[in-house]
Amino acid sequence: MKKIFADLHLHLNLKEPIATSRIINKTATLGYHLIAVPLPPETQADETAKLQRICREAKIDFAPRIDIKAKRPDDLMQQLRRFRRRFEVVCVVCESKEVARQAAKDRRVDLLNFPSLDARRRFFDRAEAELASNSLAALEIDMKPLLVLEGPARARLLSSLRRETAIAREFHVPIVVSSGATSEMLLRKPRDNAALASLFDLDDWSLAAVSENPKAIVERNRQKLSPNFVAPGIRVIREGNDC
Amino acid sequence: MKVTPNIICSEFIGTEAKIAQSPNQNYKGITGKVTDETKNTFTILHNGKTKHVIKEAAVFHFTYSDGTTVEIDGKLLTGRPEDRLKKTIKRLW
Repeated sequence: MKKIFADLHLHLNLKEPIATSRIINKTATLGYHLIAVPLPPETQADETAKLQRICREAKIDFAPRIDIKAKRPDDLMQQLRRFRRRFEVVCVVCESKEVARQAAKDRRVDLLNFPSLDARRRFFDRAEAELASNSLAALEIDMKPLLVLEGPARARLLSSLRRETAIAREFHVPIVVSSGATSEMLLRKPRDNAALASLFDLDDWSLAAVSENPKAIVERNRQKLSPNFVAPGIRVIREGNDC
Repeated sequence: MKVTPNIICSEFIGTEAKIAQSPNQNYKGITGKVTDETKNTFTILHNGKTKHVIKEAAVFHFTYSDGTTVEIDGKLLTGRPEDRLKKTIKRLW
């Protein structure tokens, strides 16, 4: 069966429609079937519809995503309550240990992102992985810093990524490899990204990280956001006369 | 009819059932009225013959009297009807 490749982290400037459509067309040409674009919380429905239209023209599936940056755990909970049912993919950018722990144990969180390049500020350790394995959160790894950084900084990042992927594999936490691209130059083919992932020892998991894992997240959330969903395993097929 | 997660506690005898999915090829296409229920099986009256279907091995489409059709995974329905009353399913978000 043909693999469906997904890039769940594509930074687009919504104020520049030409550049946006160029990047989306490029992702379609590279072989992606599904993209998720982080949208600001105050995004209007017409802006989302416009993006969806561009994606439809490029024959690519679009999933709205939100990146939550919270300072404290209670702030995170509040934002999750507000945004969970409005976006198909919810990612928490973990900038403090308390927020990272709360995000890992919350079932509403899809992706955990650790943007810091400092190894001490990346909080994906064994405790975090254990919490994430009991919920549904996946570890997101962006390829952009790997492509942009040079020298010792890149070596330090690779070392952190190697440690994190080893922990994730030990605790069976799914890994999602995304581009994190802000321009066309940072886009790579999905199989190229999978090959790059072998730099941090993701050998046999790398194709799943660009295809099955992101696809499963989006499919699960679409099912849950559907009006026919009642509970896991229960779904309305046809509504009766008195509904 | 309002469908809630508590639907698994309701009575299924008398409803129209259809096997929607099953790894067992012999179950495919079984449709009819549920005539009996045990802890692990449903008895369905299919073309005048009774068929015993293992709950765990099928996904059912139940049609209620008002026309509402609900898909329920058989795994959620295991247990005797009187014991299922205690079961709760949480919709986490």
